[in-house]
Amino acid sequence: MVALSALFLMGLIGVSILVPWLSGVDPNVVPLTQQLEPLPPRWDHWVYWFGTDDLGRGILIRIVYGARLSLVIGVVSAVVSTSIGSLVGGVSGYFGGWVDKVLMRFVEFMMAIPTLFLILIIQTIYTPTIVTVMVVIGLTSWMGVARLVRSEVLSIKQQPFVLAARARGVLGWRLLLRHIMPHALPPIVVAATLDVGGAILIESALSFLGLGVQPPHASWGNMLHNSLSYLLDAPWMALIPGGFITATVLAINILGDRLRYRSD
Amino acid sequence: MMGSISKRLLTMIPMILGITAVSFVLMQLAPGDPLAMMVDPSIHESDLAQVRENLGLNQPVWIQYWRWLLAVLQGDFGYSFVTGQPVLTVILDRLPATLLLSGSTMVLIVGITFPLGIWAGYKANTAVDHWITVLTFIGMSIPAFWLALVLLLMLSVQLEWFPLSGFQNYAVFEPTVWQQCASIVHHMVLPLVTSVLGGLAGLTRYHRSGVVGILNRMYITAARSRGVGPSRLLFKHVAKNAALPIITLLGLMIPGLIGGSFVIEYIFAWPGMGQLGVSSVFARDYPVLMAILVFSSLLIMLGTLVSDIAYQWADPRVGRTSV
Repeated sequence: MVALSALFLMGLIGVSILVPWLSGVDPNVVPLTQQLEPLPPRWDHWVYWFGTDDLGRGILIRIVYGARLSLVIGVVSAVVSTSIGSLVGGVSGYFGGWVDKVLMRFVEFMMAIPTLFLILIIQTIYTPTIVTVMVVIGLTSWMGVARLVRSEVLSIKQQPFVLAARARGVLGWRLLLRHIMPHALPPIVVAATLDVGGAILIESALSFLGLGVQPPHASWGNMLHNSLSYLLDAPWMALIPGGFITATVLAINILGDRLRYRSD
Repeated sequence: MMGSISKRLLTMIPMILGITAVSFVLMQLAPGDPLAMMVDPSIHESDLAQVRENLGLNQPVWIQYWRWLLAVLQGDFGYSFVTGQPVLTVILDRLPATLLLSGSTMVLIVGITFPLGIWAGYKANTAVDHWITVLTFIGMSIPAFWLALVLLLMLSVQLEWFPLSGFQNYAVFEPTVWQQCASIVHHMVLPLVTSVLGGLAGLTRYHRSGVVGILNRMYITAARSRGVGPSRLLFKHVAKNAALPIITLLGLMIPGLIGGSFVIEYIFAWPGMGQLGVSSVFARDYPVLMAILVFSSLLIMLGTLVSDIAYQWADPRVGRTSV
């Protein structure tokens, strides 16, 4: 399973980099010579292997561009959330005292707000773009990482090498960033991996509701949004993007779980 | 113990204030002028200024917040832009359906993951364990809204086993209480399946590692050497010790349940707070949105608090000092 997941993700990354670069097919152009209705998969040209959508555009090429967008959004949001979470958790665990109390109360506070709903409200206030989607997901999903890093730092702080560093006169931020945080890196990497999957799911839900990536850009979520009016006549429009989301998130989760197992 | 509970309740006060502040700020950021909805477009500029003054909208933001907060604390969340009803009435109307769905989800998740986790833990690192992990992970990785669509397409549209949406069949003439309950359950099957499948992985994983840890303990070895058989060992010795953390996990589950309810209720048109929330997002019904934000956060905080208290009650070792 682990090898299969890695293979799938590498294939997805490879295709989403190579195909847009090599194929020269524009995923957003509506072919006016064709019928403007969803057509089932056919084999005469690779673009139509997954059928077409309601505007006659090949679903396969849109899946490829959607993969690029989903992966970028997933990774950038995860980097944002992991960075904030590591900073908050690291500072909280390292400095302790009232800093810790205040920060942890803030974490609890953020956890009490239903994330998806908060994102939905923010997206109605600001015009949704790809950048706001990434930033908003990152800003609202760092709390788990913060808690994890805090408990890591608390236990690393007790180890003799920290005492040794202190004795050599390494103090404050330098001790935290140079000596303690590197030891907390393995669980951070695991959390970041799992966050990529979570962010892809949130993005797909947002775009599905029409509040994420906006057309004509193809994202797996807004392809599903698009498929709603054709569920009965063109089920492939819904089944294919959904299958890709599931497979990608599953592969990420399996890899993350494996990494966690190894880092324990 | 009473001391620690009241301390927890005290720490909730700044959090509630914080959440009302967040929703007030969001409401201020929201585009559009609330007055523009109320008045005749041909109104004279000086009259508009008068209305603004009468409503206190020309005062500094923090005074507006204070007045809004006082009103909110008295249960006055304003009026829905869409229906014109008081927001509190609208929300209280929707609360039972949400509580029913998330409560049932919680019961089912616990009922399924507990035995599943014990089984996976007992058979750790075998094919059974492997498949339980993969299947629950699939449940976690499927976007809930897509799973909902697929279930609707297959089971409601093609096979016509379940109704497409809603809460209850109102077409039946003078239904008995029993018929009403049956109808609600029938409508709840698909939303319930969707939300349960998404929540299996975490708890199963947790129970599994708990059971693996317990099986390595000396008293289990001792029981084994006394000749205690596997089923008695699992259900008598292991299950008891693995059951305790469920209470804290219930608390951790609540944010996910409330958060997940938004999309699931929306797709199945389940008349709960989540569906109201998403449809209010589309209608830009800001008073309702803010009230839902406050209410759902309150639900999450209360749920966490109750599970913390229950855990202390169940395990006195988790003392007054640690909380």
